[in-house]
Amino acid sequence: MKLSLNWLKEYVDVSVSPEELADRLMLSGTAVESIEYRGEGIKNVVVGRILNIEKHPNADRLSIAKVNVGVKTIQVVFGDKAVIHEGDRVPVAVAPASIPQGEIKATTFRGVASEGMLCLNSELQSDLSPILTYFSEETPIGQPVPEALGWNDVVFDLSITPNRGDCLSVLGIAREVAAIFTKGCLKTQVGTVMYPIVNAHNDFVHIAVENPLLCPKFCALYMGNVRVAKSPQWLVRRLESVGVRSISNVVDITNYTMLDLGQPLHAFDAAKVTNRSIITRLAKDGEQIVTLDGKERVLDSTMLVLADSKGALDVAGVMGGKTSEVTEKTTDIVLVGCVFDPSSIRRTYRQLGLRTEASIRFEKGIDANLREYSIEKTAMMIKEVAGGETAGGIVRVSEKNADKITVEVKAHYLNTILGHTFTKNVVKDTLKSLGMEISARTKSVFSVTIPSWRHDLTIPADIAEEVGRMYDYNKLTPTPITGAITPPRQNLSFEGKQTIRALLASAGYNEVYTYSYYGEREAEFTGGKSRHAEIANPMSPDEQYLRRSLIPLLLKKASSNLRLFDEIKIFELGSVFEPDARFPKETVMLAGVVSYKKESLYELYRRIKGDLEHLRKGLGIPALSYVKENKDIVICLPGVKLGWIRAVTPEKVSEYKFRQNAAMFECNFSSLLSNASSKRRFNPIQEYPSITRDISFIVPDAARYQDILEIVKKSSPLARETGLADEFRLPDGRRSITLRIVYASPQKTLIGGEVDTVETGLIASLKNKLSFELRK
Amino acid sequence: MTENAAQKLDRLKTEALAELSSARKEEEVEQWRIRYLGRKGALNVLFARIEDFSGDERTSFGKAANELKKELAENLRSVMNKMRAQGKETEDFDETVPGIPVSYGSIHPLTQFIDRICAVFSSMGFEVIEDREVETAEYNFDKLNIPEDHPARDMWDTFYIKSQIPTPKAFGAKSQNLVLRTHTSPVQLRAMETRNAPVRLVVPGRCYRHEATDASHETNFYQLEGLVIDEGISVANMIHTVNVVLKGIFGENVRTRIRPSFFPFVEPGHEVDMSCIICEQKGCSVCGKRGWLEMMGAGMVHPYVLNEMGVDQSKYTGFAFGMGIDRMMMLYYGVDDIRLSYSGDLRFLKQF
Repeated sequence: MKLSLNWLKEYVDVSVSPEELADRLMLSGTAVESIEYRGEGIKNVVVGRILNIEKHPNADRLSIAKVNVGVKTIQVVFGDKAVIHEGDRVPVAVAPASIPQGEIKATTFRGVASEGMLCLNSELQSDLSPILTYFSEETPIGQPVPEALGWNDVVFDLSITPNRGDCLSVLGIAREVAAIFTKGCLKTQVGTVMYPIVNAHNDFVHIAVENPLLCPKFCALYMGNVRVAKSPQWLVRRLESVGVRSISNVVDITNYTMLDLGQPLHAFDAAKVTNRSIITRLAKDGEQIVTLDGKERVLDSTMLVLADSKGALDVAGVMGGKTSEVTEKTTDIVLVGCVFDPSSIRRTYRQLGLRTEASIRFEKGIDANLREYSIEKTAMMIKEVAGGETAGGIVRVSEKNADKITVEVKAHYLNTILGHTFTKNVVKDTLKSLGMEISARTKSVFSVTIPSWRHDLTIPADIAEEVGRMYDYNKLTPTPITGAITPPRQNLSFEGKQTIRALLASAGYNEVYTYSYYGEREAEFTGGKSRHAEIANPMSPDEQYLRRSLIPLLLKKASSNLRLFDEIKIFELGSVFEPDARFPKETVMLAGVVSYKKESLYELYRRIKGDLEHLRKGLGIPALSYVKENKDIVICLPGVKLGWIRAVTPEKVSEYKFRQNAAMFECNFSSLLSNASSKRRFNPIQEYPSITRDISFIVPDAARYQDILEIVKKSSPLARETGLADEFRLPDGRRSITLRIVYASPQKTLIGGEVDTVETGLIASLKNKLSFELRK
Repeated sequence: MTENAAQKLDRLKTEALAELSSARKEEEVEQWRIRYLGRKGALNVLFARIEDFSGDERTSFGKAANELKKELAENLRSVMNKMRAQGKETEDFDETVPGIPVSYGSIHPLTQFIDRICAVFSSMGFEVIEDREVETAEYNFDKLNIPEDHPARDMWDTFYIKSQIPTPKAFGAKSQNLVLRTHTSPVQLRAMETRNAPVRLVVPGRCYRHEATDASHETNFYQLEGLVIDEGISVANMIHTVNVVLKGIFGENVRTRIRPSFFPFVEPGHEVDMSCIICEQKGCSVCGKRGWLEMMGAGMVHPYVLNEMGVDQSKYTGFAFGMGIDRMMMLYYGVDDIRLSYSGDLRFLKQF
């Protein structure tokens, strides 16, 4: 919300600098987003009177004006953005001059000298529209424009929290400022009403309320002989300074009241209200109304309307209707001000998608006690600006005024929660400055009566906040928590994630984060759309399905990285979602994608397997087995499928546009972790030296390493370790492998002959059982 | 053996040994080896001429040549050994050659940052908790004192999940709608279903926000919230805790400032600012020339929420706080675009 300092000063004397005011507001809970100094950056822009105008001899769209700028007369070349006549008084930059966009210097346009520039509003103030201001005849020639426009003002952009609807007005902020600086004293008293008030109807207007729960208060006032016209300059400028466009005097004044007092009002054209009789009632299902913005709205029976006997005139608390709009032809008006149930207004504007300034205030709760006053103040302003007279006074339909709310606060609670001992007088003075009334019920309990505008104060903690924020929390002494010193409960899953990430990073993997949702293409890649939980309001169709697997987006990231890197290893540890009875089932998965230029599927598979074995060892999992199932290799623990590995050529995942082979894995994090163990057991170091032998074979393609291992194991207890030292294809295409076998005995130093014997036997079994051929 | 042949062998020996003793580098020695002992070296050339001899001469020539070969080989070995032992050659390498790279991957900066923060909290006795990302509106909002028809609900832009099974009208309450959690607060509610006061908890995790993305806004983001419930817990305790934590993360020099603010689940509510670490409060573009950075929301747990958590309010009070990890990580490392975190771009990730 924008706040004009000049407007604020009508309610409270502020002598501190705008910066200090902003700081104090901020530390007491009103966030100041920015401070704007109106007219800043403008120099030598004055009110000039146009003496005469000629066409530019060399340019169709340019003209030349002689302008009296007070101390002298200058010549200015101008364009066709505004219509200017001799005698007009307009803003003129007299070179050398400054405007927010830059310097204005004397120059020539197509051979004609120009000693300045006529300035549009938007050129002087970026948030204004590109129109020209025409000053009145009384405006002194040569007066600086910021002064003539009332721009000797400072405008604060405030961010009001949703609980403080009362601060969505100048009066509301004035109360805050007064509490800070003047013990809560305002210059102007508000609330006293002089107009007569009668129940429900007088000779000029009739009102009724069908649902008092939804509309606890309804006030109206009739005014005749009003002249609807343009607003006077001061009003236009004041509204402009806080970002509101001028429409017409009557409408501007109702807007002014809303900004001033936080009280939304509506003016109806009395001639268009049948019998000048207005009722608030629920709309009929399907009832239609054209709102002031020109759109046709279809209402339903949960929405409140103001209506005459012919139909809805106004969507209550949200927006007026076109048929009863105040226009230039209007002479008689009915000013209406209501109190509505905040939730009802909120539901209505959300359903209609019509969040207006009025509805924002109604949904946060307005000060019911200020309705009559705000109507009276508005009527007085209309009289002053647009003429007209009131007749019959205010009519009102009202529930009995709600009892004043009282909150009882224990001094002990207040001091405990704030962590500071406040004296009773400090508490009392603070609360009084905020408009509360305090009586000490007992020695240790305050009884606090809440002012009608503070709907946010309902419990003792709210009162504690009022004391704390006015005191300034930064003055409290930071105090350590005291309590039992015990180590926190361990979170094995959280720690397991840390371990897994560190292990994979040590194996060269980069951790990637992807979105938790993807599009139809990825969903089809992962079992089909119907097997996915779906977002009802996705940002885009590409972000519609909750991921069921980490793989699709990892492949996407892999593919885009492969445009820059030849070798990549990436992984993600994150939640996936599957539709289930009620909640989607959430499972934490670990997935990775690996791609190395020119590597075969077989090589990539061996890479991933090696990495997973590294992970297994690091986690202390005894053993994993790898079993082919269709195209995938399933990663298994005894009786549990943990996940899978797949190696693919670019064609198999054509939608991801790979240019080289890739391999991927995905496994269930908790199953993996549940088999992890941090226990390690020391094995005695071999006492006697070992002998390492490499043997090379030409082997059938179908030979499986698992079978080799078993044969080696059976061959002799001396064969302690087996490794695949080398593997390649001979020029004729046959597969050649080199086994590296480590022989050792726990009892003695082996001699070559003993190993030779074992080796001969092993070669024979490999030849017999697996058709291996010894390579020379 | 003729005089001539014997002389030739002698000369060869002298030349060879002289050359070998003048060799300074391993390459020179290797060239020497090729010249004399190589396949086409001087000795083999000499052996080839054995055909010129016959009988005894042939035998003695062969023997002499073999002895010479042995001698040269022995000399070669000892020179090489000496050379290696003295390490003459090691001083001559180009010290600016690159090292052999270690292939180490990287852990995502957000993970690293969460771990850092959690370590600080763990050291202060806080338990780390994680939980589900799809929540009911009841846990994400209602139980946190954010009713459906209240303007406070607008503080969160929410993704809704299409219901899997059509709920019967009777159960069709909006509170049972599923959402992608907008904060990690529901985790604290769930945690308190299995715990009793006093507690100290922190909850890191992924949250979701339905809003357009730009350099400082993402639909996926990480939050870390904390909860302390104990006897006599106060705003002063909260200030001390956030102070210590921010110092633990950003260094001893940072200062904190507390501003009153509003969050429905706390009362009183606060905004916690930290002195700008970029300009040290001299004013810069990161802090908008204010010298302060908004770091987290905090406050005393609202009695409504304490009640939902089943906390005995006659005995206990508590505070809670929540911080955006993405923004903190960006500040810490100087990252200028939040979207990089979810881009998967290795040029970004490999820097951490």
